[in-house]
Amino acid sequence: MPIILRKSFRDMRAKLGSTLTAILALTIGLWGIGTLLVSMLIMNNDLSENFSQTNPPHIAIQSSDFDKLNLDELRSNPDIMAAGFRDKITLRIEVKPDVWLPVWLYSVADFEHLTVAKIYQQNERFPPPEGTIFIERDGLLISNFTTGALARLQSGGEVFETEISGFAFDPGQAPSSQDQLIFAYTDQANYTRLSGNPAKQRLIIRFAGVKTIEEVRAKYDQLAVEFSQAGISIDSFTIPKFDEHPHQFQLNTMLYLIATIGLLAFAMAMVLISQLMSSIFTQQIRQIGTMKAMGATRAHIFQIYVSYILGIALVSIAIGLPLAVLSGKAFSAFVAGIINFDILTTQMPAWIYIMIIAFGLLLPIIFSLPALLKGIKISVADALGDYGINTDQSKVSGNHTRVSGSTTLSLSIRNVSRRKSRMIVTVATMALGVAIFLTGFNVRESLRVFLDNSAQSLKYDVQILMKEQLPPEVAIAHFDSIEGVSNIEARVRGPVQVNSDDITLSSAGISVIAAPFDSIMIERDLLQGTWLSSSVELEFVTNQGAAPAFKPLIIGNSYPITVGGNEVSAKLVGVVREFDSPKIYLDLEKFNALANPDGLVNNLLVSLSDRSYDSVIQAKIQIEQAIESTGMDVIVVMSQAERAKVIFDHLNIILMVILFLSLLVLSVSAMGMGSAMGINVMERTREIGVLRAIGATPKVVIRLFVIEGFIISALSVTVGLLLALPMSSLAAQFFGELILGENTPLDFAFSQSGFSITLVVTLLFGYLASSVPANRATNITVQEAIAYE
Amino acid sequence: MDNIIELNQVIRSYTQGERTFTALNGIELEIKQGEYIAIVGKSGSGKSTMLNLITGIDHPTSGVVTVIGTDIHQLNESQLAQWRGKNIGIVFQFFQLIPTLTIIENILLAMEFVKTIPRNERLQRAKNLLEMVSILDHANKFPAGLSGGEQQRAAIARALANDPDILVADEPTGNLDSATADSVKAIFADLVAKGKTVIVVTHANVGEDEFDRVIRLQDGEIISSSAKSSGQKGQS
Repeated sequence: MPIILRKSFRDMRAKLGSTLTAILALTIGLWGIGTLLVSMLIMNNDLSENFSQTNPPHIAIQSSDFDKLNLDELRSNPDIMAAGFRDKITLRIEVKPDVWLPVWLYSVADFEHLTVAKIYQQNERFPPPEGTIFIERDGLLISNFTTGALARLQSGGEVFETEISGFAFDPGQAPSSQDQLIFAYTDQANYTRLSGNPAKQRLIIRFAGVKTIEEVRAKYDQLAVEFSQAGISIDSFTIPKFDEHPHQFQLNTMLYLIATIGLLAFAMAMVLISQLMSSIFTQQIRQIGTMKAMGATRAHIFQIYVSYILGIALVSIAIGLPLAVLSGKAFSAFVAGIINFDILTTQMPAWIYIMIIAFGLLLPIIFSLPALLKGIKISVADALGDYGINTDQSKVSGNHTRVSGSTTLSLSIRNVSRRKSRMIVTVATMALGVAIFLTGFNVRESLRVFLDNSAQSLKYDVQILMKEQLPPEVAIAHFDSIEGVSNIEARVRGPVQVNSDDITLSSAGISVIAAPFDSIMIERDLLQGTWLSSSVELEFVTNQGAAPAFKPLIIGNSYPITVGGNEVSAKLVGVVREFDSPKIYLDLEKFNALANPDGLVNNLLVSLSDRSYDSVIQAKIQIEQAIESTGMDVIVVMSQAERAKVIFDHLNIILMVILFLSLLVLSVSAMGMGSAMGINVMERTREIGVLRAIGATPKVVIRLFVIEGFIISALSVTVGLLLALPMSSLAAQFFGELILGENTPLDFAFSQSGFSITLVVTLLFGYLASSVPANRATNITVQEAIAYE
Repeated sequence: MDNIIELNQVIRSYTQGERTFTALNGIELEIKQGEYIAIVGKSGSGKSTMLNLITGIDHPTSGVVTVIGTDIHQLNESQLAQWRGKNIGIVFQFFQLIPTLTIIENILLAMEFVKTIPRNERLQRAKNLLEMVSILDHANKFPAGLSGGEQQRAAIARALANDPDILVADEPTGNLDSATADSVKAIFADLVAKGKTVIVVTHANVGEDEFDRVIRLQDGEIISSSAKSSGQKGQS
């Protein structure tokens, strides 16, 4: 091995502590950025790939006239990429004894030749034999379903049994485990038997050459004319979000999180590397002088120390790269499991490896460059005249002489400011880590508060959504004798047409809830305006999901809406925030007068006198029994606890990712502090010797450094806390909009537990970072300490 | 004999804030090839500054320093480093061996920087040098494993790595016991006998007969320059 390389290698070994810290920091940085790159690549690719491979439909059209449609002729239309019948109905299915969940039952004409909204076999029995059903695989997580078992489906007030012949994978659906919704697939005859509805009434189409939702709408308008000419009357149509998975928001949130925090972790690792390199060069300044005196040029010195950095980089890459690929894959698999998609990427493209290697090799050199150039440029005289690592170029300000208290405390306070630039970098790095860690906790708290508020705002315990519409007194009578029921409110839930530029929402994407304006069942989280009043004017309130349909959104403006076939003008009085599908609220009486002359209802909110979990579950069982005995046609019976769980499950993964990544950033910051404190102690080894020579006990010396550590920790926590407040507020706004939709920031919340943990962790790091090296320094003899260079 | 080193009207002053301190003031000095010179003076007399100017480690504020026919302060830093590595060997007071390289590697590193010695001859030359200073047995030890005297011998061997014409030593015996110091002096005398120019800087009293010339400095000026051969002290 060339002598120059040998020196670099031996220097790495000689400064093992610093070298290992640098390797660890760079490894974490590369691990962070590598995980970010790998998981972004896999998740972006594979969720899209999973989803797009299904050929997701651009539109679903409902008509009872499709017997007049020549499907083959339609498919030959160059504007149509793929088309097929996929009837859909919402029924209920018993997932566990006496536990019923809604099921979207689809009819599939030909399982083996699907061209649109493809589903994939998960077992050998494919397609399902006639008269049986397949269940979407994620449903297994929330049911006792097994192949060959008989599923019980509730339809039209009756219970039907049908064999579960297997499981399918439908990448186009939301995960059942999160939405508490089962997806099932069967042949058309069985669909008709189970639903009581004829098949071939819902046509799904994927258009050719469309790139936007507006183009989808334009193609549909052309098609509607052709259908009309063929005597096909369209009942309704639905345009989903353009080529987007239903849970894309979760993925987007996590990708943003990983990207932000992964980059920050890497940046902080770079700061740490820069600090370490600077300290290493400072220690070697005399050696640089000696080598220059021996004939070394700047190029030689550069070569020696770049070799050193590259050595650290290569070891870090050797550890960090495979780790990044593994953790990126593992994280993607974890997310895939939750969002229910398959990982298709098995081989990473070469550019991923090249990028991680390039980051690992180049960035440490770039970040070390200021220290490296300083070391290279130093003149021989300055280098040899340097008192080495004991030089103390900073000035102790006169103000420090006013510090009162013990000598140790005064000395510690003065020492903190001896290396001002290092102290500033250390405090800034640690403060940033603290700020990100606290922001993570605060955003988590904002989400938790939002969930708690959502749960608490619901003053009912069980919601029943019926397929049929009944007079309120009839509907209520089925349940008001159940023990513990204190109140039942009857409402109407149905579709509404909004004349909106937002095609997704206007094409049947919004529901209307007609409830008494003075309902006490739900406490509204108003973002703007007020709740409904007894005003004679027709008022409505929108939730934030439906808000984009009303542009410009101005409280007090009137907007045309179509309810029950009647187009009316309604005044917008408020916007509420809720984690729910797009909805508008109308007063029940006004809705009845407008579109429901018989005053029928299909939605009951049941409140109980005992709101404990056990009581709610008990009441829910009795409600189920009442439904079964009366033959009511019900879509969903859901307790508030279950609803809260659904919402929590949607957000929990995001909370977990936030905390994990925040912890990673804090760890890197703590390493920065540890390294700075370690260097600080090492530089003052001779001073420690002098202190001990004049009578300081090891305990006093350690206390001196521990106080310094605590001062730096306290400064970092203070600055971090100040930084965390605006950062948390911005993050709450950002994630609120990402998760809940436009203009719906989460409220800022301060996590006391997060702050306590941060405080304890930071002070603990401060203690360890200062006491461990100080302990080590006091273990050498006074003589060795004084002779230390 | 030609002058190997010439200092003409050399002034070196340092400015610190509003104060200017003159370390060397109007030095005129000529040193011939093969001379064994002692530069003697108390702390702050300017002897180390003079050594730094001769080796190109420091630059004069005014005046000219010519070493082996080269006005060395006209060279840029890299040229100067290479020139120094080739022509001047420096022995430091605290040895300044690279602690992470073995003794022989310290010597090889000096050869690697300058590259005047062919690669295939370097190892043997390094061994010869170590044998010359009687520490060949310690060739593969790290500096920390050697005594002060052995480290100083290693530093001398390293200074001779590229076969320079001039060897300068800053307080070479300051940290050594008298027996070891004598052995180091013997090595220097031997080098002079082989035609090298050896300049030793020291604050200690030296025996006039040990050196060809003893140059005494005080407050930045040469106060005396005595030559052994004449046996007389003279004002320079």
